[in-house]
Formats: sequence, structure tokens, C-alpha cells
Amino acid sequence: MTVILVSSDNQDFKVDKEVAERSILIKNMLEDVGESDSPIPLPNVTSAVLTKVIEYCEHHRNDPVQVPEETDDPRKRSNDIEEWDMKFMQVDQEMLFEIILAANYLDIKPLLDVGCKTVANIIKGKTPEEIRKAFNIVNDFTPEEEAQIKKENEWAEDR
Amino acid sequence: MEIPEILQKIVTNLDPKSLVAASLVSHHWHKHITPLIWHTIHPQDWTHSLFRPRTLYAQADLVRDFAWHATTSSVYQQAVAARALQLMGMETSAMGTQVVISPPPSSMMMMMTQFDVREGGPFLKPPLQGQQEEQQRDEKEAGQAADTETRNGQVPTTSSHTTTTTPPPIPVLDQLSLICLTKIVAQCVNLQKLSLHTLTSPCDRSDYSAAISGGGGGGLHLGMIPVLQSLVLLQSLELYVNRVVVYQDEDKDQSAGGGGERGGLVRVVDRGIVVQDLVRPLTRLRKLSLRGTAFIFNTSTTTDRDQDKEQKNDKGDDDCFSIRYLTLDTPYISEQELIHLLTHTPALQSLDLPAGLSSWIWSDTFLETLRTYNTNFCEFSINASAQPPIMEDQLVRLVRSGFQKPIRRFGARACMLEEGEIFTALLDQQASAFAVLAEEEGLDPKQVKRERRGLEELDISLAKKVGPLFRERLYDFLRTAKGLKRLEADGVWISTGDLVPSIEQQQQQQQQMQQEQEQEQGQDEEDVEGDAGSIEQQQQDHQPLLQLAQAQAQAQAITPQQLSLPQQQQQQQQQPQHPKYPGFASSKTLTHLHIGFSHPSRPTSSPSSSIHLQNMYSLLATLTNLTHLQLSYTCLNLPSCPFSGFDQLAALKHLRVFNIETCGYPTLGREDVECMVKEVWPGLERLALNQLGASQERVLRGWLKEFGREDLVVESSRPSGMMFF
Repeated sequence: MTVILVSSDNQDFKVDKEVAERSILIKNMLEDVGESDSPIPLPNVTSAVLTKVIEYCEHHRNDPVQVPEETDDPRKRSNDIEEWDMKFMQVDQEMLFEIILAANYLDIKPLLDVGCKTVANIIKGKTPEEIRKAFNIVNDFTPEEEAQIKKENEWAEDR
Repeated sequence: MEIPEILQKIVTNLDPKSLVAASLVSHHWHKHITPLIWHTIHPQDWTHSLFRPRTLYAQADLVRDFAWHATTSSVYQQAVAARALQLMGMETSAMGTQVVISPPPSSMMMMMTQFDVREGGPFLKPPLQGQQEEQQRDEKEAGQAADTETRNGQVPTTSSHTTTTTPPPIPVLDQLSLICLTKIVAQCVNLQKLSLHTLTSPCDRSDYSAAISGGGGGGLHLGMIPVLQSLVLLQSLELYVNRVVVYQDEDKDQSAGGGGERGGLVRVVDRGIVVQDLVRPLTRLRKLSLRGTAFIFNTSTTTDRDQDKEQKNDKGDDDCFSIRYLTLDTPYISEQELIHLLTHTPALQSLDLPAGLSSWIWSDTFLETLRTYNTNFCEFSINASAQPPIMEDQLVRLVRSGFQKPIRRFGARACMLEEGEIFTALLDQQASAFAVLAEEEGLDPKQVKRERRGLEELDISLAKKVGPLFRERLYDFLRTAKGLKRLEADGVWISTGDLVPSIEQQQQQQQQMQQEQEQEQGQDEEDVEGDAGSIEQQQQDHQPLLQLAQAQAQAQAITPQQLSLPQQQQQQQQQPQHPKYPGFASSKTLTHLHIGFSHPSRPTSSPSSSIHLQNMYSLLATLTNLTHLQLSYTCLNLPSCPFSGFDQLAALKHLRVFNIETCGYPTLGREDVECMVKEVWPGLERLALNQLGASQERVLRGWLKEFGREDLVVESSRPSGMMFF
């Protein structure tokens, strides 16, 4: 069975139901609507991004459902990205963030995870100034504020 | 990056250094990253030279998980304080459970301050500097509060268990940090998890210095008790306390001649924490772990309480606690006290008990209470390392009578398991509990057994007085129990010859399977289909064992054709399986295994040892989901030894931790290490080699660096032993 997804720029994408249901949002919509040929509008996702998202879902169509990890520590590891996913995420920064936003909107947790890990890998090892430059962020700290925060948090660097 | 949820999700993947750098990017980033930095305060954070309690105090509302362990965090303090005592020639003495430290000369304070300044330690100086007046006022208030609480009976420090009659009270140089620790915890209003460890022994000589340096080393400040009671979001509380420190007010201090200017008199109460009173306000508490001697358990009977309620016109307080996981390492707890506590913890799921329950009889009342009041109870462990021993019949009675639900975790560490009847009892309990569940829910027992969780963790480490029957029943258990994830059997060895069956035994098993299948045929078609799949999988799983059996057969001049089963029997293999397996029935679920595979006295060079090793490797190779493997009493033939069979362990693709607790014979060479970390287990994260000396460890680390595996953590417990060449 196939479903039709419609991007924000009105392009239709015919995909297997199994693939589309990697998105929890779409899965829930299909369950609510029942058997229907009506296309599913995705007003927050452009065709370029939806193409990438479908490519990801096609590749991972047979993956087991992810079980949330039971851990008290909110910190995770970002060095466990599969090779295919790493290549898949080799896109320009704008597309990377578009994919993350789409994964968040469509509720595709594994894609959101891999997107966030990819961004984390960009941040790793950089100074604050280098991070700002990488993401075009303006420094809105005064020198005093920056010094104060650095003093407060520097112990945590060597945990 | 503007969306907080996305930013937070990204930064959770950062290492600590990058996280701190990211917090300095902008106000927006700082706002969303700072909570992550302060979310958890680990015990080792307190030893960090740049860690400032004053900053922690300011950020306390961000802390969700807070740990203070005096055993680690006060190492520095103890060293400094002990050195100071030595230099000043202070005398210390112990009188029972009362510790008396001679009044120090005033220069001692200067000495401590000098240490403080030199080392920059956080606790010998007041952590919240610049607030000395406030601190002194707090100290005074704390002392007054303690007395008031005592008078009001909120904390019965004058119970029959306490030691308060022997004067004089203890003058202590600096109790400030105890108060400050209390103040910091009080500020952590959003705490969900708290772990406080004070020092281990009330009479421990090292405790004197810790008492001087304070910071929890001397005990738990009495003022901490109401603070704990105020942490209403707390879900997990772990306390390791041997005594409660009660400060007295300055007037009393001066009249007792205890030093004057610092108001340093304290009174130590051995058993000062009433557990029920402590946890009553903590309505979200799910996990409670108590260790030490400072605890009192309320023993008033239900009738007494009801009368009290009537007298007090109590409104709706049914005195039940929400605790699900209870760990008690409190040697003074009586069976009656525990029974009383159990009747008020209806949600209890897990109970861990200490050693040395000398007055316990494991009465019918205790078992009946568990069964009737704690209907969700399914996890239990006891550690009988200390005297008196826990007998097997006591444990068997508990297993047979104490649980309604299928047991999920069972631990009997250092218990007397002479005949191994515990294994039979565990299997019986599973069967009967599943049957009851099926009957209650109107389901097929097989379906219930498949879908519900059964025994997943078993700890029989250091089992005492084990006999032949124990081992026979253990093998039977291992061949039968499915779904086991963790088996801890430190100090228990098994002979693989008994688990890897001979050809005749396999054929007998298959014939037995055939007979049972014929009986079951036609009864449950759906199950037949489901189990046919599993028997195929089982055959694949035990391929190494079958290969080994073929190799053995060749050695015994039995042709491979003789191993081939008649076609009829091969077809019958597709039918439902017999519950017993040639190896571990839990081969696909076991993730943690700690066991020995040979008798300690077995010589490694004997021919039987070689067969034994091949058996062991073949058996281990079937446990393909193992992540942790610890072998005790096991003499290994490592990769460099030809035909050792070690290469079969490459099947353990998920192994992350390998702990060799050898009897010290084998040599671990460069080639062995290379094969181990590069070919057999490239995903290995930790390698623990007991009896590894410092120089040998350096050699090993050098090899790992050479092989590009510096990330692999090497652990060692004792020097000398494991040989390198």
C-alpha cells in the first residue's frame, strides 16, 4: 500500500505506507483517518527536504522501533553514527537544520537524533568564538559576563 | 538553534569541555546549557580544585541529581587534617561509640587555615566565604534547632538506642562545612535524586580527622533531616550514615570549656534517624537505600498507630509510602521492624537486605507479609558475607512462599546453597506464578510465559558448602531457564563437560524431545508454528556445540554419518522443543556472565584441560549477546596458544567488558592483546586483568597505544601475578 505526501511547495511524493510510517506523525494520521487515498499535506516541509527525509526512511524501513534508553544522565554520545547516516548527513548547514526541523515536526526520532549528533560533532572541540562563527551567532555577552560564566563553569570542563 | 528543544537535544551530545564552551556562545545558549552543566553533581566533582560550593549554592535550583560521598570527597580533607593532627601532636581516643578529641591549641586553627590557603580545598575553609557572621548565626541556630527538635520529639535523639549519657561532648574545630552542606542541599529544591555518604565507621580512627574537617565526614548534620523532608520532588534517596551530629549552642559550648570562639561542641547520636518519619513527606520517593547504623525503624503496631490516629484526630494520613525499591544495609534492623515497614510499602517491588541478620528467623509472618502486602514484589537479594550464614532452606521457603509475581531478580550472595534446591524452587516458582497469572487473566499459560518477564537476574556468587547435587541442579537450571539476562556466579565453577553433552546424550535428548512432541501434537497448532521457528534458531545458536560434538566424535572414531539423525528424527526437530537445551537455555538473552569454568586445582597443561578449554570456548561462543564477561577460577589459553579455540569468541560481537580473574598461570603476550582488541573484540571498552602490576600495566598500555586502542580502559586490582613477555 502506498500513501501520497504533499510538500509545502505542492509536490506529491508517493511512498510505501511502511516507509511513511517511520514518521510517528504520519502513522498517527493514517491511523486516525483509516483506509483512505487522500494525500497527506506536510505544510512545514519543502520538497527538497522531504526528498531527503524519504531517502532516510527508505533506508531504515526495516529498523526495529527505537526503545528509549533508561538513563539518569542526560548526556549522550555523539560518536556512534552509522556510516550510511554519516554520509547521508553530509549536506550544507542549511539543509542539515531543515532536516532536523522536519524530523522534529514529523516525529522521526532516529533522524532527529542523527541530525543533532551531526551538529554536535560540528560544535565539538571548538572555542565559543569558533562556534559563533560556524553558526553565525552574535556574541551578546559583555566581557564581564563572559568572564563570570567562564569562572562558574570551568570546573565542569574536566569532569 | 533558536528552538530551545532542538538546542538542548544537540548539546546533550557534547563532551564536558565543548559543553562549557557552548555555554559561552550567547545568552540564549547559556540559558539552555547551564541547566545541563549543573544537572548532576557527581561525587568526584567535589574533589575538583575549581569546583566552588558557593557557585553550586547559587545554581542549586538547577541540580536534579546530587551526590556527596565522603569516602571519596574527603580524601583530601582527611589527608590534610590527619597531617595537621600529627604535626600538632594531638591525642585522640575512643570511648565506645563516643569519640573524644582533645581540645586543640589555638594554633591548630592557624595550621588548618594554612593548609586551606595552600591547597585551595573547598571544605577546610568556609565554603560560602564572606558570610561568616551569617554562618556563625546559622551554627547557633542549628544548635538551637537541634535542641528544640529533640525536645519536641521530632527526632528522638534520646531513644534507647542512642549513646548520650557519656560526657563530655566533643569539641570540634570546624563543623561549618556540615552546616554548609546542609544549606546547599536545602537550596536544591528541584532535586530528584540524592546520595549522601558519610564515613563508614563511627569508631574508625580516620573518622576523627574527618570529623574535624567536617563536610559530612563526621556524620550527618541533624539539620539535614528536615531539609531532606522538604525535598518533595525527591524520587531516589540514598543515605550512608553511621551517626548524626548535633550541634549545641554557644552558651553550652563555652560553659563546657570547649574552645569558645568557634562554638565547636557537638554531640554524636548513633541512631538518630527515624526512617518512617524521614520518608513520610516524600510522596514521590520510589527508591530508598539506607546503609549504616544511624537508622531507627518505627515498630509501633498497627493497633497502636490507629489509637494514636484517633487520639490525634489524624486526617487521612494512612502512613503508606510510595517506595518501590528498598535497599537496607542496616545491620540492626530486626525482622519485626522490617515486617512493620513492609506493611506500609504496598508498592514495593524490590528488596535488598544486608548481611548479619542475626536475630532473624525468616518467620511465616515475614513471608506472609511479603506475599499479601507487597503483591508487586518480584526482586530480592541478600548478601550473607558476614555471619551468621543464610541457610538454603530459608531461601527456598522465601522463593516458594514470599512472591505472588514471577521472580525477576534473585540474589543469594555468600549463602549456604549445599544442595542447589534453590534452583528447583526458582523454576517451580516461575511455572506456578505464570500459571496463576494465566488463570487470572484467562490467557494461555504459554502465551503468558512468552509475553511476561520471568527471572532475568540471578546472583549466586560465593555460594558456600556446595555439593555435587548443587552442581547437578545448577546445570539443569542453566539448561532450562530461558530469558536470563544476568548471571553472577563469582567463585562458582562449572564443568563444561556437563553442559556440552556427548553424542549419546544428544541422541537421548532428541528421542525424549520426540516423545514429548508426540504428546503435545495437535494440542496447540499455533504454538507448534511459533516453536518450530525457535527450534531452527536454537539449532543455529548451538552450532558451535554441535561442531564440537562432531570433533569429539571424530576423536572417538565415530563417523560424521553416525551423527546424522534419521530423516524422521530430523523432521521431528521442527516440532516444539524440549525445555532442556544442550548449553545455556538463555544463550540469546544473557548479557552479563560471571562464572568460573574449571576447578581451581585443575592443572592447565593436562590433556583434559585442553578439551575442557575447547568446551568452554564453544559454550561461550553461543552466548552471542554478552556485553560483560568475567571468568573466575579460569585458566585461559589465549590466542597465541595454537588451537585454543579462543578465536571462537569472536562470535561475542557485543562484548564491551572482559574481566579475566585468572589463577595466574597464563602469559598474556603482545600478539594475544593484538588479537583480542583488534580481531576478536574490536568493540571492547574495558579490559580488567586482576593481579596486574604497575609495570605490566604500562607495558599493556603501550601495546594498546600501538594498536590504536588507547581508548580501551584497563583495570587492575592487585599487583603481581599475571605474567607478560
